[in-house]
Amino acid sequence: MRSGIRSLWSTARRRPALPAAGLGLLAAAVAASLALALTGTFTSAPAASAAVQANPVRPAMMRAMSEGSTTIVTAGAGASRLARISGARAEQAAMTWLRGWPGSRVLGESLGYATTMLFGRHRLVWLVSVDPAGGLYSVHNPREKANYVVELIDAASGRWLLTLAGRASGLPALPAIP
Amino acid sequence: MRVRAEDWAGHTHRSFEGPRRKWLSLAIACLAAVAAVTVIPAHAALASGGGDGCNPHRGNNYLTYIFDGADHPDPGIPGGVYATISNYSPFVAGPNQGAPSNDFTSEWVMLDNDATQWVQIGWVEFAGSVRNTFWEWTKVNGDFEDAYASAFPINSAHTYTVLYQPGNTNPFVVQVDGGTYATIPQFFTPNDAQIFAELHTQASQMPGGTADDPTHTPLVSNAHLWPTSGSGGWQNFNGTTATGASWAKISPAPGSTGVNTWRTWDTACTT
Repeated sequence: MRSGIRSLWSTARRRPALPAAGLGLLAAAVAASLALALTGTFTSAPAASAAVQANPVRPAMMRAMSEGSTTIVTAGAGASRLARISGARAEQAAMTWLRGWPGSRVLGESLGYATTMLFGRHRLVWLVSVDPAGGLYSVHNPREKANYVVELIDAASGRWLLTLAGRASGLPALPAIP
Repeated sequence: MRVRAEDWAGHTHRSFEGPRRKWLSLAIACLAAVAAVTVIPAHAALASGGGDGCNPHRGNNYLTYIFDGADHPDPGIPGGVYATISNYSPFVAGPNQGAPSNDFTSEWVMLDNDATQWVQIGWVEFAGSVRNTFWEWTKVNGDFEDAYASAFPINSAHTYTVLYQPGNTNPFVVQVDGGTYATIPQFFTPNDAQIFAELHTQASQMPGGTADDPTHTPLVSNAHLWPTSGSGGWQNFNGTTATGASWAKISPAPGSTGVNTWRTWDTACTT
């Protein structure tokens, strides 16, 4: 099962080699301009790939989310054939939930099976780990900051189903995005 | 809204093949550059306040907790609490008011232990009008978890419940309208039940909006408590009303006892 994790973990954060370096620089400059225009400020978060939370099917992440009636398990390599939407589309759905936090980032995503009382057993979902700009805090105690925020996106429809967030001992803080 | 240089480059790299790639990419880059100077900065566009709200125009004092609702300290171990709560959509302060973009206002029912550990369920609205049904529980070592699910329509009323059923593997149960949303392991034993609206800056609006008007539908009604887990059954909540600010009103007045239905409002909102 574990061998499937690596292959299913999104490749979105891999930096492809660009054959035309000039074109890459131009694209980067445009993207940076867009980021500035959309957020009002440049974000200076550490590289997202460095975050433990970039892979939501790491055991520590799954333990944090799997308590009570909710369980998250990894999906085998064959699950990618069952997903009707791509990881990129799942990222888009995840960012829709974060529309109130400009500058928020996707850290990574992976396919998994989720069981909850809300939508039943063994639902194939994209687990999209995100880092909301400014952080996400306990509803009843906003002095406590979540160190994991994972959105569950239906791998068949692309519909946002649920967001699980919290603080779990053993997980590092999320990269700070102002 | 996710925009990063490597992703932009990566999508460009994957999207086009052959000699057309460079020209198509350049065209897209030019269009994006035009967009970059015409897009409204997101913070300026960030709306604060939902469908019902009024901006109270009070100064921001973020991380000042302000509650409005009712409490029922229980002499025993409560077996549950529920109430029907209207999904009011208040004005929630955001960056334009000096509050963080991730602040929020909520209203919930809760079982707790001296307010240090809790399980609660209700609605939450973030600055920017993002609304959710949420439930939260505390664990050990200060750990906690929140779950956010789809919101109900603004101003629709729903019954939120927290049950405590000792002896079960997951003794805490959170429900909406009788449907179970989650079961939760035991991290504490409750000795209190609360039903409150909660904000964290006076720049936000206390749910209720309009001045006290007995003809208005109460924000909270049908409040009940199961006083002793494992025996008996549901009884009236019979809470004691309380509020945390002079402008955050509640009727019956603060300190009233035996209360099961109440209205909250904000003196800044007059219509």
